[in-house]
Amino acid sequence: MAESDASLVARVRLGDTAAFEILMRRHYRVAYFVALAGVNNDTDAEDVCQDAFVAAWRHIADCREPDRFGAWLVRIVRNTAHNRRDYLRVRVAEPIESGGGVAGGEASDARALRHELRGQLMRALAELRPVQREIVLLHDLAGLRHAEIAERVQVSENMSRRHLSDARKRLRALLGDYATLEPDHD
Amino acid sequence: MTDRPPPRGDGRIDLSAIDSADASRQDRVVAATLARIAANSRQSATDFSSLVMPYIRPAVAAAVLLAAVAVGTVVLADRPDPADQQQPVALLTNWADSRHVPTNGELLLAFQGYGGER
Repeated sequence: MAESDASLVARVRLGDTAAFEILMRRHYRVAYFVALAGVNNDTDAEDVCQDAFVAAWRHIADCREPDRFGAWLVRIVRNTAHNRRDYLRVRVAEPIESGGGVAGGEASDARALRHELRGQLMRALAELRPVQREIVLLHDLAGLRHAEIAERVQVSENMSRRHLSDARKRLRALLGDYATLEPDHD
Repeated sequence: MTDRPPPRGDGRIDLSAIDSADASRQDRVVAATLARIAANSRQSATDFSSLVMPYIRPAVAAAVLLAAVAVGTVVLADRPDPADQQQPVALLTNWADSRHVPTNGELLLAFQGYGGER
């Protein structure tokens, strides 16, 4: 059975970096998507995660509910992303640009298509309200259920469903043919 | 509590193309974070040393001075006062020099005080 967050936090308070690594890996995807929702750029999102993790390490004594470490970390990530966006003045509509130039060949064609799809998705996500963007990423990519999202985003479960529904409608309208539907998990 | 199914036509959109949170990138972020934590810890230790270092020599000097004063005080306090020790002898010498014959009272006064200290 996996060690609880509360137990890991107690070890971190004693300076145990191995325990902190377990916590980071356990909460990485959620932290990453919250950061991505905030800065809309994957490189900046990773930097935000780093900064937020370091801040969490430094201020672990302030984590008053160690069993809810995930929710506490999300708040740090969101604040860090907010500060970084302000500092860098990142344009929310700027799409992710990762990967190099595209050469010829079938693999390159597939990569080019994925690159284009990625750009379309990021531009569409940028049109959503921040809370909608966060919820759609946490639900559809991080795989959280509404109860888990409600705890981390500080909204009710019903509001989480409503934001997700509104976000999907908006994305579908923006993406048109790019919108590929999948079965839902929640 | 079970989640209600989404309304019809409200299906999930495939966002996997923007999922960059793969294992290798996660490893990179985690490693970089741990490196920063280690560097911060070293920096904190260095900061503490540099904070304390300027005060070490004056503190040692003050401690040595205090120790010297304390030792001196103890040594002086323990040593019997030579004036007190020699008082009866001095009296006797004075009496002999001046050919003074001490009275019983003078003798008692001189030697009582001397014997009382022993």
